[in-house]
Amino acid sequence: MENNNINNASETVPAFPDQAAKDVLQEELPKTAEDTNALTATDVPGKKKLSDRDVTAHTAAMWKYNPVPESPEPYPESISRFASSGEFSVTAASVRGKKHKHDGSNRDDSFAFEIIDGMAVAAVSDGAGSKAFSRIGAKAACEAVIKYSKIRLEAIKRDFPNFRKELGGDIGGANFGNVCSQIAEMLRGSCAEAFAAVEAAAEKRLGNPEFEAVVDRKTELKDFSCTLLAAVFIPVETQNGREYLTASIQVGDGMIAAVDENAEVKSALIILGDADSGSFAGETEFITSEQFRNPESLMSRTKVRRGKLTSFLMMTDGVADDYYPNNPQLLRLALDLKLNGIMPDAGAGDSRDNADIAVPGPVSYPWVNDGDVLYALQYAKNVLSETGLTLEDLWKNKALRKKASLSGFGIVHEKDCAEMLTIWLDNYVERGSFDDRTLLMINTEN
Amino acid sequence: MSEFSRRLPVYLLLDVSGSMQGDPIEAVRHGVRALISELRGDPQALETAYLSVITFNSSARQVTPLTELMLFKEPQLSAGGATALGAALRLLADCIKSEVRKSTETQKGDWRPLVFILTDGAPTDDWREAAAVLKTTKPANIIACAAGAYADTTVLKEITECVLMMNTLSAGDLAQFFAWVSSSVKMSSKSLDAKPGANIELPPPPQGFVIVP
Repeated sequence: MENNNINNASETVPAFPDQAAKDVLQEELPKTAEDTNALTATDVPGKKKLSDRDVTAHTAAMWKYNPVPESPEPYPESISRFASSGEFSVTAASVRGKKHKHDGSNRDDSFAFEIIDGMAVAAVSDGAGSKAFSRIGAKAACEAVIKYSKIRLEAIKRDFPNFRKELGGDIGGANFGNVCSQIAEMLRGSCAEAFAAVEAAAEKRLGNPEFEAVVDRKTELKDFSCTLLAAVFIPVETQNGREYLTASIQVGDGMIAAVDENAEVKSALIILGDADSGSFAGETEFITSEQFRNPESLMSRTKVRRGKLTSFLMMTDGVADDYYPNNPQLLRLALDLKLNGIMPDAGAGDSRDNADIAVPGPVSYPWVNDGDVLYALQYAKNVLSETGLTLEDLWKNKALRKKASLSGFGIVHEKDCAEMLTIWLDNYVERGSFDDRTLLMINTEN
Repeated sequence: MSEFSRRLPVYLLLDVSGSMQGDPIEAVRHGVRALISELRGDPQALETAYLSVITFNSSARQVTPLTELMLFKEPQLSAGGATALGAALRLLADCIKSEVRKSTETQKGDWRPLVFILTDGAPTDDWREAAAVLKTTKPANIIACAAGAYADTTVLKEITECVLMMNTLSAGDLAQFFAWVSSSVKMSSKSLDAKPGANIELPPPPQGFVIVP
């Protein structure tokens, strides 16, 4: 089922009951820009340094909401989707970031996925911030990956009727190698198709006066630039039991990773992407770069892995940058998703008596779309800093996680996974983090 | 927890030579105040912008080290002396080297810094080498503004491609300059994913300001 919210301020998801938090915030936050102007260095008594929370508490009320412009081609403010194969489920959401809401511009991120015969194909893309129609490129790129992969997977099934079994066989064997190559080639082909699709999308709008008006010149391919993360997810039976074969390709920033909640913290996170980046923040590579016309150029970027996992994650830099360095901070992302009831938390951590550990409660910020609505979210970062525990401690102590989670604080809701993910992406606050956020999550049953 | 990274460093290089005495330096003081006030009304600037002021006359001084917007204190500015632009450029390069954080494996770096240079006269010291280094290494997006009849835009063109000329040092012109700096800082995030070396998008310059081709 799919949820498309196009500036539906009236059809908002109701807030969690949090009157106490609302009362506190009403006192603390500046009401207007003038209040902030009045603040000079001398008004910060005894504080040489401000904490990030001080700053974000201050800016919370200042982020404005401007709807997406009417033309040309507006995109929904957020999209989300959930689907299940029985053995695993895919939950994905993409939301417009605070900066775009403030400026009144479109969401530039996109995702697409399909479950095919007990396997999944997924794509995530981030349209370049400086490019006017990058959202169109991002959507076209993601859809092209899925479309091509579907066709190629059918062909692989025909040519290799036992391919699922072979993928579960001896990794050193020729059969495994053969099928793996097919899968990797398919993925590379889908990226080249994505490039072609972005080109076609640009071509289609060439000479369109509405588009030319936006950039004040003729449109070009560059205006549709975007990153691309593409992956295939295949459950297989091996002599070690159920494992998952994943093949992934990354062009640009963002990240792809696998998480095994049953593993020790040292081996629980497997980084499967490789972000392109320059020396400064924001500098990256795009799928529309000439070199990527040729699928061969993607060979060094293709990563294949078979092993245990309980979650597979793909995300744009709007999320990845908030968990840096990704190794090991993406484990903190998994913890945030568990604490907020978005990722299942059934792993075999050890239960302990945590009566003496005081955990901080969830934090509420006003929703940018409607300042009267507050969403209470839990932050692993806060749990760790307030308790003095380490990432490893929280990873092992499942009972403490339960205690610190939203449900542990009596915040229960009727929302489905896709809605919760949307709310979380739309509302978690991190200083300097206001980009579009997209996260695609595959969770297995074990 | 670790210090906030992903900051947008902004450096103001302000000419405080003798010719700036009187009304011009007063207008600059006013302009800096207005810039800070404007930026403090913007949530994105509040979360990410860190400002530093470097002044230059017979020598160059970093009067305010890179400081976050909410804690930024207006610097004391007084005019008099020569125009050591070279010293200012060398100091700028040093400050960027020591204050700006590049991306590493363990830390997301700052956004590429923005530098605004305001000068009303020709340099009186050795500046060519420092300018050439900045132009080739591009450690920042540099925007240079030549104010008044005695400013030398050819010098500024040796530092950066982006040079503006404003005809006078009037209070009005200087106010417009600082308002434009503010808009540029607010707008810069749009083009922050531009490839290194590519031009960043800037708002149109104020009335009466000329872009030097």
